[in-house]
Amino acid sequence: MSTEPHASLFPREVTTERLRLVAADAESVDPLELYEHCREGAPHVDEVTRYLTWGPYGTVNEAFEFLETCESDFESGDAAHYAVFAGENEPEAGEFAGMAGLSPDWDRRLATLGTWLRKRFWGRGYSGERARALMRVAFDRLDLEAVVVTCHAENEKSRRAIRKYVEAAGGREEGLLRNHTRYRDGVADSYRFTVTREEWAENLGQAVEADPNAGTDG
Amino acid sequence: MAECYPRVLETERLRFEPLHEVDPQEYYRFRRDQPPEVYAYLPFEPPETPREAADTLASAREDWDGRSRAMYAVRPTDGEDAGELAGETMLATQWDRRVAWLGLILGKRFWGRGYSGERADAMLEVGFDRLDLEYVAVVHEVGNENSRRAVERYVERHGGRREATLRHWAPAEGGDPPDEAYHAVPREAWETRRGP
Repeated sequence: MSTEPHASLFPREVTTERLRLVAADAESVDPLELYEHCREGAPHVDEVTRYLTWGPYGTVNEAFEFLETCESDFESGDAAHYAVFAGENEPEAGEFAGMAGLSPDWDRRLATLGTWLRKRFWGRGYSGERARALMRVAFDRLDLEAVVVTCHAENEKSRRAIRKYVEAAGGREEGLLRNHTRYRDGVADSYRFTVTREEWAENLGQAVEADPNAGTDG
Repeated sequence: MAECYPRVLETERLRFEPLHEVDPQEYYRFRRDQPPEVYAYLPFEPPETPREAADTLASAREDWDGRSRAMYAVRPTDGEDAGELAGETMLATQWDRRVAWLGLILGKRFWGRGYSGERADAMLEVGFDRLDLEYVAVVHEVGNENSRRAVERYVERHGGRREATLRHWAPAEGGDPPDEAYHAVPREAWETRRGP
């Protein structure tokens, strides 16, 4: 039996070697701080959001609304949106680094992963570390059959990063989907990547890598 | 009243009319009487009752009226099969992506005549010329060699290509869903080939 007072479909917290992922809501993330990182004119915000599905916030209210959506998606089981914080041994220990999402599609038995990081956290392999942790959630906890990732066709940096962690998990880039996603600046092509449960189990499933959450539902 | 999808289309050898106007009995027999090869790569079984076939027609009407997809009955216009129900074809409109998705079920007796390509030519024209979409896309199951040949032929002829092999694309109805070969024809390629 679970001893959690409010058992949830998704783990509320996922810890990796260098990161802490916490279910995002207006408690775990200060909406005013989120706004500071995401508002129009915030440092690097255009670069960060260039290939994302949303653009910089015009008002503080958008930060509140976003966090409310995160919370209701989490409670309903529609999606898990995690705030990513630098781990305690990182130079910016405890700082808000970005967001990470996991959206299950139960009919297709797959989860789609997505993420964005503040620019100062780029280039450290955080995205891959976050992906490995959420793949484990998708396969081990949610019992799904595949993990899907897409990226804007022109986003070379993300494509390289995704390819790296997808291939390490035994998965592959599948090809280009035309007009597949509505991004910030309109509809554009996406590359699609998949990792199946079998591929993951063979390549990463046994890895004991930083899974302090294992067993908390026992 | 003006309609989004053309009511009637004619090609050299085929005529297309809204599927929902087909007599339910005729449609039931067409679907029911196909040999298993026809259903081998379809995500559904033959209808078990006339009611089931009628429901399919009703949803085709709803989708037509809702402008989410056009389902057409396909009939040869000459020869000994003239007027017979040979198949059904789909053009689904994903408006917010500016993509048309094609689909076809052809009765076994009508395989191997190049009807699929002839139908595709007509549907591409609807998708690009009339509906002003940017891509026409089609998937077929990997391993379905008949579809592969037909699709590759018309996709290449119109300047498109196979872009991806998709896993876990279709809903999993018990067991792993099959891999799908995804093809797309861009509007510019189609226009270039059509000429002035």
